[in-house]
Amino acid sequence: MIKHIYFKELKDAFRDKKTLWLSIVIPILFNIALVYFMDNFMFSVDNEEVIDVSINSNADEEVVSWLEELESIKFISSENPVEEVTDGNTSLAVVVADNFTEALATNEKPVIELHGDPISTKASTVMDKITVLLSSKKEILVGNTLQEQGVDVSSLEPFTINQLSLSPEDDATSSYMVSIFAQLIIVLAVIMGGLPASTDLFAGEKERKTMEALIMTPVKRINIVTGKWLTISTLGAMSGVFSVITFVVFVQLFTTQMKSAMQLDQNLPFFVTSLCIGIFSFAFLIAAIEMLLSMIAKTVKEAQNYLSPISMLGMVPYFILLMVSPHELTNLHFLVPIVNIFALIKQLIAGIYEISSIVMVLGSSAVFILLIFTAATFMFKKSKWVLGDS
Amino acid sequence: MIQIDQVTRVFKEKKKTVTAVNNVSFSIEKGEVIGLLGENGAGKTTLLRMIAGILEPTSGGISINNLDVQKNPTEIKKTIGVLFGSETGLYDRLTARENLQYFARLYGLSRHHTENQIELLATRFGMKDYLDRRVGGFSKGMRQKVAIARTLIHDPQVILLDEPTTGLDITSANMFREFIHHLQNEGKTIIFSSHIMEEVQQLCEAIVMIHKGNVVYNGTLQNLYKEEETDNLNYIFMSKIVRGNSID
Repeated sequence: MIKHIYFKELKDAFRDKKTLWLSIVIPILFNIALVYFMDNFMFSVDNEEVIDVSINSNADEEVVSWLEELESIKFISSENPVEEVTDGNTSLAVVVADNFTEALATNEKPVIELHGDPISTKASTVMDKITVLLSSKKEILVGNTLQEQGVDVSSLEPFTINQLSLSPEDDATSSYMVSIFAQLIIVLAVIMGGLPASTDLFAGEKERKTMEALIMTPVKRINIVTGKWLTISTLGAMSGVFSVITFVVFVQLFTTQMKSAMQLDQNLPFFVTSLCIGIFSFAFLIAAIEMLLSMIAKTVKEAQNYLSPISMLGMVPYFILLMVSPHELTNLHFLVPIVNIFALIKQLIAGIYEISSIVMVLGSSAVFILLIFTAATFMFKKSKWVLGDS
Repeated sequence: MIQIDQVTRVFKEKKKTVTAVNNVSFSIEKGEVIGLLGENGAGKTTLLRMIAGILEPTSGGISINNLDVQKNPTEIKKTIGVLFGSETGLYDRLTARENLQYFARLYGLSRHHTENQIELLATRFGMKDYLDRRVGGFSKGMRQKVAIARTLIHDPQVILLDEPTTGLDITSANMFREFIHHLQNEGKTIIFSSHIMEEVQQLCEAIVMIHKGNVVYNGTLQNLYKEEETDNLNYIFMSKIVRGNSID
């Protein structure tokens, strides 16, 4: 009987344009837009792009000649360079004392000011480049001075610091990007995919009075709940899978920066495996939550009000784990529902395969699903929740 | 056949308690057509929902063919056909045939039996022309026919109809009344609620009058006319409501 209900609900859902749009079309468009944006704008601060920097017109010529060694930066002379930045004409302002060389010779410690908005990627990038350049110039000057005074320059660097990444340099960026996108895709696609069906299958049926006809049949209510829950889960998972396919195809065929950064050729099996585990676990879990909330509502509108915060709920763990390294994940991350799915994806993409993590995620999700499902079944046996207006 | 014994249903909403059905008792014999008369909110739908087994009585009991409705819901539901409103309980994105097939399978009918029943009902209600069209685009009359066919798909012995002609045009309403006569001739037991007095007079031998959850009359129409010395059911109904004497 569950199978019969399940197939009928799927057929009904696929004939609903709203479901098709939210489950398939919008996730696909969203992914394409997101990938296009990332590829063209997030990576846009590359070596080829020239960034405008304003500099005071009376700046010391020697400093200007140093700065002009930098590529991809165009220096624009201005009476008021800071105003150029606040007006949006340049990304950074450099203010150099006009008597810089003389002041340096007399040990007066002249100042070079860099003015930029720290939240601007372009400003941060040029600020870093200029700072590195000036630091090297500073070291050369110090070295020259010490040499003149007969001091061994090598004593300036008594030890060396080597910063080494846990993963190969190229893979680190790739994994991080895959991790970010995989999580976003799961959260948004699965939630959006199951949303219209969950609203329609409980609150919608109550509003249209089809629920009344349904529960008057001799079918056990747990079978009705199970059939509907499986339908919502399937649509959520399907939406997630469609998103992954679109994402992979679009990145491979239509992007340049993303394709080279992510190296999907090497990561594809891991990427697909991790996403499948994430999508299916999350789809079953979120379907149970959506079903419960739709059951509480008497009308579709009420259900939509209850279900809207669900997308926020899904985004919280995403942001919590965004800056956490896969090596920093603890058992707690794998035991807290919803958070654990993101943690698992993060770990799998980093190439860390621990059976205990997978068992904890699946076990914890199963327990949480069981609890929600039991509550939903209990509610569905009560006329108050199933008839709506009684 | 149907025994309703001191049934009460109380709804609790926030701090308010509403008694929708209060200590109602009556019985219906096999093959009888009973009219459930009452104003909107009198408790008719609540009573029908309890008979159908989808709403639990707060106290009292209901049995059909000596089976307790609450204790044997699966068995009871197989023998009952319910139509709440004139055109509800249909899935708009499915065709009329798909709607009937779905409910037939839920009632446990085999594929073969289902197709036979659909054929029979489609012929009976003249639905063949639009059987494979989606219900969403149907007129009220067409929807009503599909809803009735859905109610009868498993050939129930007891049929509960809750204000089935409300909102229907005169042709559809007359067609429906004709249909009740047919069912009566087939020996089905029918309870139908209504607040249209002429309809009740046309179709029922006996009535149960409900006012604010209490039964104010239970018996045949002939006895009622004799008791009240008039056959104006509208007048009788109003005077019963004004008096509001419940019978225990």
